[in-house]
Amino acid sequence: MVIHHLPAMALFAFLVSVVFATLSKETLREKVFYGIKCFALFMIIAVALGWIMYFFPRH
Amino acid sequence: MPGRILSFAFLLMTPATQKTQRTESSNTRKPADLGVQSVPKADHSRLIKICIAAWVLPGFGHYLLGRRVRALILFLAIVGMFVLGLLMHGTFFQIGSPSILERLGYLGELCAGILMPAATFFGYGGGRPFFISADYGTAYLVTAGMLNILSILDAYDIAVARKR
Repeated sequence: MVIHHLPAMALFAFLVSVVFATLSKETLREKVFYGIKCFALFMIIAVALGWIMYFFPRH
Repeated sequence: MPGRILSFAFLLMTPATQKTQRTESSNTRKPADLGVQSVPKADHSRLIKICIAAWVLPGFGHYLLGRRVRALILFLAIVGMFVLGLLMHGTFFQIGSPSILERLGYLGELCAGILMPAATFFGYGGGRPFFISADYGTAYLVTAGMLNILSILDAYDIAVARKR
């Protein structure tokens, strides 16, 4: 299965966020909000780190 | 490289890094005060069985504890992540590798329980390292094992009544 960077990253973040939310919180509402927060932070941090590394020399 | 970014973000987001409130007397509180039940010796074998079950099949420990919905979610998420890793032709590391990182990767993949031996049994050849998505696939495989570790710890906490 060929998958590009962004979908691979989003899928990874989604699955990890689901597990974190399931294990960390008790009520359904808390789980949903925590899962959304985890997913958003994963994506934001990954994109931010990517942009920081963009300015590093490549060779 | 994106796999490494995600691994770093994964470390930042683990529940262990969340701040917890501590009181002055927390260091002197006894286990009973913390709501942790002291475990009778007879229950040790039950705990071991639950932890082994949770390791062998993701979510099975929770299923044995009666937490069916949680078991189903964990099973779908962890097995789904592992299967996606296989579809992306992720690499199965070898325990005999000279690289310590590859040996750790092998242990990580083994933490997913029966999934890696089952994939090998059904003909998965260990991945295609030069396939375009192989790096992501390997990250998925190892992370599935790591998530199963969290699942085992959660099953243990529920079994000792530390969690509801």
